[in-house]
Amino acid sequence: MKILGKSLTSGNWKEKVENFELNFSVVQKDGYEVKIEVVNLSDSPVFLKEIKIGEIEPSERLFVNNFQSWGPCTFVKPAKMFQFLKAIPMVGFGTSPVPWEFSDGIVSDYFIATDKEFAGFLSSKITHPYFKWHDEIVDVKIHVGKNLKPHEKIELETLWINVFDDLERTLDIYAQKVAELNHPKKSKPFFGWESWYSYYLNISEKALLGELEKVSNFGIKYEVFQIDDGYEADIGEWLKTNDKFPSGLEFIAEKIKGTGIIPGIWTAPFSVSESSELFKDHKDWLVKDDKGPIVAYENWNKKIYALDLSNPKVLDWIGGLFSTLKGYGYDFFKIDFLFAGMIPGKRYLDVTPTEAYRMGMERISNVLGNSHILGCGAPLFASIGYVDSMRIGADTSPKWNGEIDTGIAGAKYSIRNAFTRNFMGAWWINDPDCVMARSTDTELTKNERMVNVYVPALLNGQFLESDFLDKLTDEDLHFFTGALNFRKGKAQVHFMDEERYIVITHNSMNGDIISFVNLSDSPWGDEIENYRNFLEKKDDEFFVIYPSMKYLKGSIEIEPHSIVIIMHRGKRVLRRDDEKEDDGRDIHYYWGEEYDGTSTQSYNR
Amino acid sequence: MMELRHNPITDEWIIVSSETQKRPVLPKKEACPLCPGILEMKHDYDLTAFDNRYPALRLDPPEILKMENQFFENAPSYGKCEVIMFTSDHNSSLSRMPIVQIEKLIYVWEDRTRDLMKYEKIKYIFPFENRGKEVGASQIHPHGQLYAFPFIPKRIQVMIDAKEKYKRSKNGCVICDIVKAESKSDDVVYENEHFIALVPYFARFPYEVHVYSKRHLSFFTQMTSEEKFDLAVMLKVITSKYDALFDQEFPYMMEIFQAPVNPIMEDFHFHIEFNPPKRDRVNVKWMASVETGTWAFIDPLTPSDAAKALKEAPYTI
Repeated sequence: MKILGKSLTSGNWKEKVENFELNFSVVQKDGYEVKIEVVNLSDSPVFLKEIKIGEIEPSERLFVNNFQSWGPCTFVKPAKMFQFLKAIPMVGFGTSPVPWEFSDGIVSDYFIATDKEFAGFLSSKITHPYFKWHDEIVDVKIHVGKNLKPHEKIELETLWINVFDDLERTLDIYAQKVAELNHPKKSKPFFGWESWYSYYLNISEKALLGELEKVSNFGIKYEVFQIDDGYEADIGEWLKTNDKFPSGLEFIAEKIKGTGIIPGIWTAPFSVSESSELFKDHKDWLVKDDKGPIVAYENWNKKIYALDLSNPKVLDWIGGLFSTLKGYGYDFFKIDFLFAGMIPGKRYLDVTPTEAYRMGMERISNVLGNSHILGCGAPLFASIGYVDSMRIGADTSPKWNGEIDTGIAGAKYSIRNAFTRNFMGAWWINDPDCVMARSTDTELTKNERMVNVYVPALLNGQFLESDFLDKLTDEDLHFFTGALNFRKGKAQVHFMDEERYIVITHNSMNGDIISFVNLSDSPWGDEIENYRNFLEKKDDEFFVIYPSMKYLKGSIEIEPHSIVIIMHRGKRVLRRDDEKEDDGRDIHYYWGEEYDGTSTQSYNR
Repeated sequence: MMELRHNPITDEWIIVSSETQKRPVLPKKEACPLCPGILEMKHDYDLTAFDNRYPALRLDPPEILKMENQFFENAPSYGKCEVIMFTSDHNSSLSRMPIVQIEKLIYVWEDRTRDLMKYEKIKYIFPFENRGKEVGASQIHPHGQLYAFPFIPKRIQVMIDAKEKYKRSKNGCVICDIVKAESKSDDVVYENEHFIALVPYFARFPYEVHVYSKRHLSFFTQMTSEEKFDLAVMLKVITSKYDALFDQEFPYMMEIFQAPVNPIMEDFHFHIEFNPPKRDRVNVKWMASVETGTWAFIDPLTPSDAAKALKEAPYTI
């Protein structure tokens, strides 16, 4: 990498770029850490849109990342991807907070890797850092998007650069560095049910309560029951329900709570639809440009605008919204379409879009306290510390949809991101999106369903099911409940290529597991012996294929769109602690190595 | 009163223990005494084995009264009664547990067997589980028990005698030969590399299942790591099928038969019997006069029909 033409070496220096001075401080620390300040040298305010700070020589294949939950994180051939994206009419704010950059290149947000070099920013607290490939070079850039006062100095995000020979290990080191700087929340993954992938917008109070009754009598201990999109009067009118929910949100929360399950609710708190009362009453609360409010995105067949999160009245409104919902009894909050809060534009305060976004997230986090916050459609780095869990891929779907990798709904690329962004589990609980156990109302094959249901368990992220429960067959149920016992492990993902992954799960409820996942359209033949260095040595070692429970002998054949799960077993040594009761009775405590100090939870029905 | 009394009519030992009628006082009426921190275990646990609070047998039994010219034979209630906690999860069961938890349970049974066989006066070690109120389980928290007897119980003696008789006439192990004969049978419910589960030709209870090790072995202590794993799989599959059969938590008595100890009887073939008391979703097959009085059992369900139903029942693994 070069910083404004200079090779990377330790030291401090300054560069003048137009009206600004850039101060660089480079320290060699597991690679190089580059701290950057920008100073407005002029005597008048100057708008700083974005600034280039360096260049990276690209390789033919790059590991790239989109800024928000749904966007791809994958290996690409940039020239090919550029040609593909050129065919798409317009890149919107849902794809990028700097959409104009796509006119002559492609963007990787926060980090990028060539075939030998990794570069990643350690935060997005004030600005939005990114990498732009164009004309056979990668620019290292930072979007600021605000006026700098005369001689004002702001600290930009710190960049970490490293040469690597193991990308997955480098991503883990990077994740730790980011975590140290951003203070993530400490949370636990939930197992629950949510309404979206069964009912979509057709959810009603009657249907929801019907599912609640099934969940509470199902024989499986669901922890969360979350209502998704479809209850609200309009986007931006979250406390007012539509005609399908005549009894209101408090009634629903009470019903859920009465079963001993945590009530959960979906909102898109930074979004306002053109038809909503909020839009009619408070256009002054929206992010705008010289012509008026900016359309952040279009959905629900409506134009959607973004709340100006630097406006104290907006923040009070948001605080009141979540305070009311929490008061109703909701304790699990899926907050969606969050990118709207970070679109560029004019705001009440002269802050960057990133700063404004974080003001909104901070208010929600403060109001909700210990309640669980699941971020979705969210600018990833700017959300660290505010969310307990985070969607890390596109919406899933009862369709494989393996053709287009641009963040549209589909089972394939939704789960692909669960692998490539597994390292982000250092910042939150990863949410790979819902699992669907059903064999009806789906176009997924049995193999594809197994990928959809078992990968989230093996990666031990959020595990939210979205089925019509009374349509599940006995076979579906046993298929589903079998997956639950693969949770609670610590997973490492190894990238074979952009479509084939190996997952090592240590100490799951079903013990140590090695899984081969083939998302490609071609069969994959392999052998355990090739991955011996990924596995812990065990005495009396043996491997058992799940769910046939046959011993693995010889090679492994992984069909297209499928997962092969192999239990790695061997001789067990239980720890035994002997105690004596006051009345002289013996009590022997036995502990398995995977026991994590909390009561073992079984989920099978 | 706590002592062993001999029945000279049937030549069997009876355990008299009024202690077992007692029940612990719980901090709250609805609390589970087997959950962590409530009564029996002061802190969290994975699995435990502990001395029964009201045992029928103990290593330091009370002295017995021997009357002069006493007609009947009696003996101290020597032995051990342990409770084995399968998991700290109150709502679990063998059918719901992860395979790993059942595998650990097998290692615990092995450890208890190894420990208890060191006592020379212990002659038979018998782990078992009573599941469901129909078989007298007072707590739903998943647990089993273990009795270490100072004598060989009557039915075990019958098994030993039958085994000897079979050996004399056929020159082989009766269970090894059943495994060979039934391996291709329709009565096999589930089979893996090291164990076979079937509804026996001679089933006494409807939906009775026997699990036999394919290799001739007598104790948990002789099992390889693979055999223990396969046994864990087998226990989960069978109990899961039971639950699926009538879509309910299916009650059963699970009896684990190892060889007698002190001295060790190595030609005794390890096996497990599941004896469910239910004849269908609602009705119980009672141990009534014929069964209790004569030991002649009337099975209201043809074993092959039970095998077919169980084989077709789905299961979670």
